[in-house]
Amino acid sequence: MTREILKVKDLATHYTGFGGSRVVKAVDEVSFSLEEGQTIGIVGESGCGKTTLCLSLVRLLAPGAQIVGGSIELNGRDILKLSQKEMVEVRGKEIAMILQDPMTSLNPVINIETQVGEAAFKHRGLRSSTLRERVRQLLEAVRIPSPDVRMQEFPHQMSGGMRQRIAGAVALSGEPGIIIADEPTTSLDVTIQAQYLDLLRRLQKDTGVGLIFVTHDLGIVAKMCDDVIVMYAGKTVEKGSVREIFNNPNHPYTSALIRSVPKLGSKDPLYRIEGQPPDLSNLPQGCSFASRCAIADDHCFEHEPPLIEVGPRRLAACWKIEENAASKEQA
Amino acid sequence: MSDASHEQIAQAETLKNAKTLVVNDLVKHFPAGRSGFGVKANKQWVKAVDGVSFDIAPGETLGLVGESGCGKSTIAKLILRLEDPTSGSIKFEGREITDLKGDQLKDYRRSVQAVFQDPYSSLSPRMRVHDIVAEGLRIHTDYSKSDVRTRVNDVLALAGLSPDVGRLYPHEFSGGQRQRIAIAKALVLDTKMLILDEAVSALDVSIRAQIITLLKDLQQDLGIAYLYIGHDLATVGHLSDRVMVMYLGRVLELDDSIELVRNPKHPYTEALFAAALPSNPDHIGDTSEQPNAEVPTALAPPTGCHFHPRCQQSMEHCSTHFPQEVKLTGGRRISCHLYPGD
Repeated sequence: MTREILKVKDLATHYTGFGGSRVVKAVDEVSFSLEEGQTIGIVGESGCGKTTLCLSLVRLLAPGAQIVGGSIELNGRDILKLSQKEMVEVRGKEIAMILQDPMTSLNPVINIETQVGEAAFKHRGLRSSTLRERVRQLLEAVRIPSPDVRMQEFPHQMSGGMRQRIAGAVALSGEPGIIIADEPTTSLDVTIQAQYLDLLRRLQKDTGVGLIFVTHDLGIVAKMCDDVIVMYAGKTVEKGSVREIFNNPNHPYTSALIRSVPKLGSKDPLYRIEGQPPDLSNLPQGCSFASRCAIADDHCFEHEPPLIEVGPRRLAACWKIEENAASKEQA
Repeated sequence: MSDASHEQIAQAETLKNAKTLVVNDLVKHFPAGRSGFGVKANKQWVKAVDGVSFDIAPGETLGLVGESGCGKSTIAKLILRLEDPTSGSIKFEGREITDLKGDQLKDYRRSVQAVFQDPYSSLSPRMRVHDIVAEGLRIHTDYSKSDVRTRVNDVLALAGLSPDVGRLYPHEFSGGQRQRIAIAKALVLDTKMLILDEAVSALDVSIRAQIITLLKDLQQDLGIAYLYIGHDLATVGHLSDRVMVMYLGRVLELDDSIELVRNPKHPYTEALFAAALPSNPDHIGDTSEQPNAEVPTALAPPTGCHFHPRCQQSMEHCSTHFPQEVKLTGGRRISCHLYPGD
């Protein structure tokens, strides 16, 4: 069995404002675990709490946000108990992050060599020629042509695709066990996106790094992930293996999401989820998806469904699952 | 039947067959020479659009795909007359629009409108929704206040918004609703063509489906021609009747959207579709045959066929001769040496 490297249990991150009178439950009791070499996808729409979840994992939350409950065990140690000073030793070395926008996540006034080498310098103690050799290897690994020349250059001299690959090299530099990628390819062309995703896959095969993909693009999930967590309004609504989720979604939100994406070479009308995601500071009573759900009834509007096991390694939070399953069995 | 009615029928026929937009051999070169402090360097030209021809019929959607820098947005700007072409012609309903001036240009702009990618920056934050939508009426018509209100409420309803949103400001809306406001604004005059530049790319999945359906319904009801520019191939394919593939300022392939997806012929189109993300984990395509280099700069495009350095099937004369465009049986336009003319 492969080693479990990350275990998140009942994590809750809230934003408080107006002197504590307004609480936004951005992440509400989310649990998952990640094994070596595994890729997990976190899917959901804007404002469902997926970015807050990532920032909680590396403890880089904005002021005003607070982890109010749960635990994050990284390589067997609860990192919520560490001080920010101790976290500096963890970030980049055990867990690293690739940010959404390669245009702003690199420092424009520091050359590529220094930026890519920083974590290797700090966490792996590499110096001078060994450090340069390591940077060269990393740039080669992310397929930057003529790395010796490129490492002396600055981010503005690179194209968008190259910058994104360099952000990948920065994340790999400290040889972390986990890389979190927050919408890493949204600004790239399809061909460059395909190259980048293939590259991440290959690097994962070579190094056994665990990947957490945060995205709203179901295509990326289908291509890259082993397991998927579907989030809605700060909560996990469904969890399972990628094949199960796509071929046999249990939660109405998951199935609606899959049916609302255009498919290449098909003009069948798209399924429309009416309405808007709810306001996180003012969540409705009951199931937060009920008002947009096609099969919701009075019970759904009054009581919140628990996240229950619906199969092997398969979780979903919906009152209608048993009914669905019963009707499937009868049929 | 009298001759007059025959004539009317014939006229109606030609009108029905008439294209909304006919673009012929359109060229736009931008100067890129470095000059300053009185020193003039050798002038270089970026050939953003280099001999592009296509047409769009009323009620039809033409999809335009290609990587960044292929000239997609320049074409949109040329049609909107935000840029003047270097040469070539753009005919809108049979009338040449590249040399329009003054009142005639103003008149043209009543019928061609655009919806842009980012609904957060394309709406003025200091105007109420009613004023944003009514701006076109104020400029182009002499409607009375109550007429303006009726028309604005009508188009807001068309875009799926209730009339009371007119009092509000854009910041009070979500991305999807802002895009609805942008669509209402584009429809307020007698619009005959809409240019949709990545109009749904910035929206969330569930909202995107709402807007795509709205655009399709509006087209069916109003018979507007769409030019949809996008990089998400599945969305472009879904919205478009025909799809045009561009690379460094030139058209490489053009055909019915379903045909093109099912049977791409140009190696670039093939690579583009192979790179598209799967809709199901069971259909992960083989992406090993990706063109590995990035798009060359438009300042110095490769000689011959622009795509040859990245092409898996490139032949000797690909690097010296640009392939002539040919029309295959079934109407597909393609320019590739693998498909020589008769």
